Amino acid sequence: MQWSVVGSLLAVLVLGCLGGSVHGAQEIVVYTSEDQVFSEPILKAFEAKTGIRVKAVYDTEETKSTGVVNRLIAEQRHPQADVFWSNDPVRPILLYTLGLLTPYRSVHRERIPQRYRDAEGYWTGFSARARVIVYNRTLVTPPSAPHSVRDLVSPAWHGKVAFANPLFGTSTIHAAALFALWGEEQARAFFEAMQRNGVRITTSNGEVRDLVAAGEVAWGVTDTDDAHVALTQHKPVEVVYPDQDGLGTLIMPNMVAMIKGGPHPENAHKLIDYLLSADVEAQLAASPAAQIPLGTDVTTPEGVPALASIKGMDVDYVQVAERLEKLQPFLSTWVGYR
Amino acid sequence: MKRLRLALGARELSLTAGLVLLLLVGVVPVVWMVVRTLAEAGLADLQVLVLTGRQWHLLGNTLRLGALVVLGTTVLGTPLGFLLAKTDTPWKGLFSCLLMVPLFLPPYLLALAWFYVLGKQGLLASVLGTGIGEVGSAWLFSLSGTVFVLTLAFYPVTMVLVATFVKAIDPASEDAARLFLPWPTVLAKIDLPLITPGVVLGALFTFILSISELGVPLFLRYDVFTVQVFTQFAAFYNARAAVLLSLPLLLLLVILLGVERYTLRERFFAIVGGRTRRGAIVPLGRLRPLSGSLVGLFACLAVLCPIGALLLTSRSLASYLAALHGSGRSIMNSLLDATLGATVITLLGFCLAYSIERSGRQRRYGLDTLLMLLLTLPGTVLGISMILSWNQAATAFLYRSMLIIVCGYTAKYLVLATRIQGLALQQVPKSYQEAARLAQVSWGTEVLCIHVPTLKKALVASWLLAFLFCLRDLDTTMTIYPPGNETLPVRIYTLMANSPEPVVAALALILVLMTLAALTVMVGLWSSASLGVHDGDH
Repeated sequence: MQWSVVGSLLAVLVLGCLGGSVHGAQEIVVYTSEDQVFSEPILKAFEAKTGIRVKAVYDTEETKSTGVVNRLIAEQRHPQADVFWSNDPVRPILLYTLGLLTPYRSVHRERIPQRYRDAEGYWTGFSARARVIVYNRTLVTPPSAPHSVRDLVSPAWHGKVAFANPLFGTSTIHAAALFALWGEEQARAFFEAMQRNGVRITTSNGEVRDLVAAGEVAWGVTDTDDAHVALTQHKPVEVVYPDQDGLGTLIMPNMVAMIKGGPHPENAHKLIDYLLSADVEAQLAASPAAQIPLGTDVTTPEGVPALASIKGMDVDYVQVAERLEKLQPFLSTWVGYR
Repeated sequence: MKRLRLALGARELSLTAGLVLLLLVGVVPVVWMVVRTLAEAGLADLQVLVLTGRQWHLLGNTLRLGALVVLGTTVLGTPLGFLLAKTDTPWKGLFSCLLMVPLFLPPYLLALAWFYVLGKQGLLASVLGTGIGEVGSAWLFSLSGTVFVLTLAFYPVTMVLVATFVKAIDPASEDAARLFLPWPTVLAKIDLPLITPGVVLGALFTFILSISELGVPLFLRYDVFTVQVFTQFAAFYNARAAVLLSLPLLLLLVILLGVERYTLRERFFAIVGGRTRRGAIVPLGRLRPLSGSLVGLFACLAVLCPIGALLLTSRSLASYLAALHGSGRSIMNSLLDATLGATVITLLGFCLAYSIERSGRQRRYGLDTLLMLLLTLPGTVLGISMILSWNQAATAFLYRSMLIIVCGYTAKYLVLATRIQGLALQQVPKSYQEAARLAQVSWGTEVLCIHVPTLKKALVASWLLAFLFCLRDLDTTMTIYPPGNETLPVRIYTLMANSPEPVVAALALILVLMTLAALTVMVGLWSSASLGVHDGDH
């Protein structure tokens, strides 16, 4: 009798755990490196709108946008995900080069400017962040404020600026973009000059923002969402979109891509269509992430600039992705990891 | 005769099934991953094994962290264990329970709580000014801060072992010495040498736990081997380099477990498996209030301060409502996974403990070392091995379900159940089992009528202990959790990025409360007897 009770309970538990193992028709699996606090409400809204259950795997701050990419690579022989929602424009291209993506041309792709989407439909961008300068207004007056990333190597700012570890997150992409634009020699010289100029290397863009807000450094380079947090908290900081009269500001859209061999291709199409809609771009612009809509059909809320008002850096994201891989040994040495 | 053969057959089948299951969920994935990695690795890959300046730096940091944590846990855990087990310190029952709490919380949660206290915009800074916040933050995000948090996470290991060894001291030897010597001399000459193995064992375990810990050094940005292994995986997409880099750490763990196995384990089994004795309690006299105050102060620092920090940071009821919104499924997942994990671990633990205890010493130590190695293996490495092994067409049903998490828990925490039940089984006279065999009862009847009643407290204790460790697991779960099945610790960790602090603090406190509820049940059961065997066996 007792055995049968124990056995029944175990069976119920096992069945409960197995419950999610069978892929249902009305579900979709998405891996996302966008912060859960921003992406979860969007995915919940998709669930509510379509009735399709979203099963998500989120990245952590510590994995700096790369944990789910690793998981996608590790699972490549038997893909479990349908869609990869990346918070940067480079990692999907890395997956493309590994042959893990399949193309899909969304009905909404035409509203996205051409430079932010793949012609064949392997990846499509939406809602962007930008790499900006954030400075402490008690330490820096507007006329003397930096206006270019080249100011990172200016002797006037020796030991007074911060840049996040370029081995992780968007700093890596920024470094790769500079290498792609300037070429190997000039970019290496620039990074070596940064070292000589005593640039403080932080573990995250959030830390750059905090150091600037606390007045520990005069200014730093960070992302718009991190800068927006400081602004909403009324910290003594100002934001500058760098190099508006030169090489332009690096724009980093989210990107969505469809995984080859994923279990729910039809639902993947629906989710990609949804993420590329004007509604989602409006939601992300109004969220604390303050992301810049790529479509011109979205009215930007206060504090979020229109894409057209920013001179974007003229980079090819495929080239940036290629550079990124080649750069790792140099950056590892530069940071001191080797 | 036929029934006897059937009984033996069922017994052997159960025990073999237990061993096969252990091999499948834990050993084979790890061994396969290491072998595959070494086979596929080229000369360039193997260069990560060469002890370059960077490797020496990592090794130095790892050993420094382990050594300093051991120093801290020994300095704190030894007197605490002694005071609570041997003296008439006031409120010692309450303190014993309270001081156990940090062991069952995810260490990164303690790091988070201390960040809320000492951070730049932390509670201390809000009271004493930003200058203090700057100093506190700089200190926390350093070797000192990492040592501080890990010491407060692991001191209960030493405390419990010392208390256990103290309780195992034969009162007769103390009584004889007391005829001629005062208490301080008896403690120094008789008791201290007898509890030294407990102190050393505690030091060894905390060293192993410290060097295999990822969450705290990652959060506090202290560069050690586990962080570098994780970085190879996370920043460079290089699982091969991550596995190769973890080999020196694995080697170090094997050496340490070898030291434990050849010098201390027999002593551990003998002492912890023996009967708890009612030795004399040292009267503290006028020092009693001081002892109570010191232990109470430490309990405030180690337990109440971090929990209080979470409570204060969560600020309002709205934070809890926001935290619970959307987290119901994670809480249910955590409870379901931990329940099934603890049940499988307890049942499998019984099979293995039975197999170990009824077989030779070599087999016992071999299996025990294997299980200890799985416990101390970095969760990320275990997770990668499980993805590579279980994400196959034939096993997709398991990989896509929460059972993959249960497999991870089983591999990692099985040693807890085998050790507890093994110790309890040592106290069951073999004559019981022989009588059952002579009576030709079935294996099921033998288990149900002899082992379950005699071991019921050990079974419940090992279930609760396994439940608590499954509930707090982060590293392994974070690597392998199936889409849509995140557990509460994983949700807290992923929400930490850019979520409002009060909501994260509220979620963390919910996890603490779940842990405290389970811990209260465990303490209630555990305090009533020695390790698990029902009273009056002997």
